[in-house]
Parts: sequence; C-alpha cells; structure tokens
Amino acid sequence: MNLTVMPHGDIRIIRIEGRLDGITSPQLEQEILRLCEEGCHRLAFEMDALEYVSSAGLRVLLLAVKKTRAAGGRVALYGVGSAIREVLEISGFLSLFPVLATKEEAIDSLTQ
Amino acid sequence: MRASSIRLRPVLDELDRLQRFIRRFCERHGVTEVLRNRLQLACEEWFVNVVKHGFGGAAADSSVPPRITASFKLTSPGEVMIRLADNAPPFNPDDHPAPDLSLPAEQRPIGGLGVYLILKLASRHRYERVDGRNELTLYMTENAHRDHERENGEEPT
Repeated sequence: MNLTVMPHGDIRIIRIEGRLDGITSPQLEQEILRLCEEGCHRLAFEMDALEYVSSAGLRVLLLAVKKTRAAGGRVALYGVGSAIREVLEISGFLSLFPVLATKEEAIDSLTQ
Repeated sequence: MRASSIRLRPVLDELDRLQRFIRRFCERHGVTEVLRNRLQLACEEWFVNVVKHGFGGAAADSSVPPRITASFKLTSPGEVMIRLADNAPPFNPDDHPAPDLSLPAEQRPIGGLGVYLILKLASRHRYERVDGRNELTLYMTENAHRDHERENGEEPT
C-alpha cells in the first residue's frame, strides 16, 4: 500500500494505492491519527487505485469517521471501484459517508 | 489436479504468503479478478481471526502445536470451494452475532465485521468440529454476494 496526503485548503486528500488489509491498515491508522492531532478534520479519501480492502481497512475508515465527527469534521470517499464498493455495501458502510465520483464532488461535500 | 493446499504458521505475517498462494491458484485456473478478491477477503478474515482469537485467545491450549490449513478446489468454472481448518478452540461462525448495520457511525463498534463478511461472501457454507479441528467449507462464485439471510449450507449432492 502507498499513501499520499495532499492539502486542499482545510481539507486533506488521502490517496490510497494498493491493498488496505490486516498488514497495511495500521499505516493508514497512524496517518489519520496524525492528521487529527494536527487539527485536520475534513478528509477526502481518493480510492481509484485501491485494489482491495478487508475488515481491517474498514475498521480504520470507521475510526476516521468517528475521530473527525467528534471534532466537528467529516469524511468523504471518491473514485471507489466495484470490488471496494461491494465490501462497503455488505458491511453497511455506504451510509456512513458520501461515496462520490470525483474529487470536486468530494471537496464540495466537505466544504458545504 | 485442481485442488491445492497451504499450511500456515499462526502469525499475521503469513497473510502475505496466503494471499500470494491464492493469487497463483487463481492464475493457474483462470479464476476472475472478482472471484479472486472474494477468496482473498474471506481467507484473510478467517486467518486473522484464527491467529488473533483462536490461538491468541484465552481458551487457547499452548500444549497443542498449532495447525492451520487452507485448501482450494475449482469445483466448476466460476466456483471455488475453500476448506479452512485449524485446531484452535471451537469456533462456530453460525453462532457469531451479526453486526447491527443500521447503527450510526458513533455507535458502531470498531471491528466485528470479519465473520459477517466471510458468510456474506460465500454462496453457501458449512461448519463442523471434527477431531479437535474447526472445519469451515465455503463455496464462492463470481455471482453477486448473497443478500438473503445466512443459511446452513449442506454439501451439494
């Protein structure tokens, strides 16, 4: 897995490439905790290059939702492929955050 | 020869070897990416559970050498049977409570989705405790995951 964090005003765009599983998800967890500590509470996850997610990855996404909401912030996802969407759907995660097509839509939803 | 097995040590680092094994199995048998993803997901959830809660749990008996195996068989084009076996304490996934997916984020517990995902991804499944082993058999297909209630899958005739 490869993580890239890009600032966009107050928003942080987190690009996740590769596999978000039991081995790699602690890396994303550390990054989210770091961003929250720095006061970044609006996170957009760019997922077009994410190939695979397991419950370990979902756990970290839920953590991101809880952490940002507790600080008055929000999370949005975009560019989610069909394999990832299936896992989000089965797990009932599609109701936890907006899952959008483009970066612009994600930024719009976080700036409203 | 359409079946293959792998034996795993009870450490999380083995996950990578398990995933590569599944990838090779799928390449050899022309299994699609959609189905490969489901196989890898179900196997990761099972393996992580066995390592963390089976052999790492309070009921674990350290005098018994851990034995964990995963076997894969192409039963028809587009269907793979997985047999997952371990000698950890009994764990029947059918007795595992399903998560409440209607809860808002604030009330959702962190974790507890793994077993649910396994059972949802399989078109049918069967659990047995045999000779001190947990044996979970899953049938996975390329078709959409099941959205009906879980069933106690019987071996097909």
